[in-house]
Amino acid sequence: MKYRTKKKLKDYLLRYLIIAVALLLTLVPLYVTVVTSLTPADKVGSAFILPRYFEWRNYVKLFEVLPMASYIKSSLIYAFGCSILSVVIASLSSYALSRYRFRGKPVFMTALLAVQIIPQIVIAIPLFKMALSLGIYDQFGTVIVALVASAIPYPILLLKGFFDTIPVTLEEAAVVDGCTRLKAFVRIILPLSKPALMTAFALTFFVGWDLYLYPMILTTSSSKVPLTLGLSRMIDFYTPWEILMAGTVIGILPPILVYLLTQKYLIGGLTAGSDK
Amino acid sequence: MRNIGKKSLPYRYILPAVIFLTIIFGIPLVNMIWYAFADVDIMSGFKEWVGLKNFSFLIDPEFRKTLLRTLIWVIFGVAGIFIYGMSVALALNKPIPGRNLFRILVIIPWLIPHAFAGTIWTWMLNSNTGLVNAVLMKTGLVSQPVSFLGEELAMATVIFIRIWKGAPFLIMSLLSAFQTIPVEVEEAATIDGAGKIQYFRKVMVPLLKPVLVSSGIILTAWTITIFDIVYIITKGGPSHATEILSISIYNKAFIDNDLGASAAISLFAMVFIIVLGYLQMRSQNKVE
Repeated sequence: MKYRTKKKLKDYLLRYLIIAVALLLTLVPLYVTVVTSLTPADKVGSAFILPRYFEWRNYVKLFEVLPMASYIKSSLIYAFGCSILSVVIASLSSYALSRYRFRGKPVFMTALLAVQIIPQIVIAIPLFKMALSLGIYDQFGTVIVALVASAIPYPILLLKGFFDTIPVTLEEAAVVDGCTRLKAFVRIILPLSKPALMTAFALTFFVGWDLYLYPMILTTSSSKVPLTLGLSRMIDFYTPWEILMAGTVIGILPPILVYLLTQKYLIGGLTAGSDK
Repeated sequence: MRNIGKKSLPYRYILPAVIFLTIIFGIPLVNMIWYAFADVDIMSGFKEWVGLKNFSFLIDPEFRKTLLRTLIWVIFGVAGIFIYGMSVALALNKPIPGRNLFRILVIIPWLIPHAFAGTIWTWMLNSNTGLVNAVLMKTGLVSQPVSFLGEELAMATVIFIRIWKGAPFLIMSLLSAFQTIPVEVEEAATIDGAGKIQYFRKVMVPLLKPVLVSSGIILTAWTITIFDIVYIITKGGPSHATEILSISIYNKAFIDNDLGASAAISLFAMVFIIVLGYLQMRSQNKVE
């Protein structure tokens, strides 16, 4: 018995040690980011551990030296454009995949798997040329379409898995009562699929907020620059770190917020497919 | 049920997705293939067919260095994600006080956009005033600040950041995969006298093999052609120290204005991606 508890203790210690390393690696950078963003410019680099200063003016300065309002606006357009459009398009496709047998279905499924591993950088350059020749270069819509195409395979497969678990009899009853298939889908299936839809929304929001390459190659005007691109351009030899860290805090808050709001669905949703 | 509605119905539902995928992946992929055999200017477009001239990079010694760097990047990046991710997932697998909170927290790097993972770590590792160097100097571990993004260490640094950013997704997949192992299996193994390591090697790994193989393939495919994180932090420098395949593809097109060569390297990279995709498809079919 004594031997067992000792062994268990050792087991706990090892596990806590690994967890401590992981938490340190995760939280220290975030903490340093926040503390630096509140440190006066001349004290940067000398105050890490204890938040000795509270220089909120760094945030004011950030908005003065950079077109932050425009960056944030663009990022929001990309992220919401990508997530809303993806969820709508993905739920339609998933519904077809879940409820119908049709020719070309295996090809479509294979294409979805393939797209997940086709690198953005490989298609980026032909895409750039195509956008130029079609006259759709430097438009929010073009970037959003590229984002949606890159983001949807995973939500489609996720939602299909979820729809598969909803009995067909529910829609059949509605159709018998005079509903169209599409109406039955919108009124009955979608409300039941909230966890999966939230997961799909969160995942595609992350993709839209994380964007970097697409706006870099597909846009040129400063009004279309998102936060990611605008802020990371500041990295050079004379970076004003306190300002860049203030911008970074603003840049990482939305995905963390979306994660916290959806995490009860997210963990369940992500694992829904693999439990069966 | 199946014959309610028209036969075209499912096609109408998948149509938007098909259009998006065709425009963004289908057409560019086809274009990339013919660009690889042509002289294409980034602004004026097609000039002439050049046969295999664009593939001359294959005998360029500089390109061999790029390949070697990409190999190092992929091997250490993927192995690092697996070792770190597996350790954390195992530590969080069974009940331990604080587990739910820890699970939420360790996922955070996955949520942080690549650009900000870049700004945060460039600051943390800054050689003049960054935290890591401050700690190393204070504790006397080094006498001179370490130049983490200098020529010698830049590759190791971007690999570290790649692991930091990439591991949480594996942790999530592994944690949900662990739950598919019935409790009885571990009980039976323990009764039979299997130790922890034995249980992991002889029971868990074989049971989880499908998940491990498929995440290994996907992670490898992603890592081969990652662009953002390296470009943001080093732009492939200093003096090519972190120039991997994806950076070459970008530089050839946008710095050297040579679309043909860029497409040829892309085609070369796609060969590996297609092989990995094929392996992935096969491993999934085996499960089903």
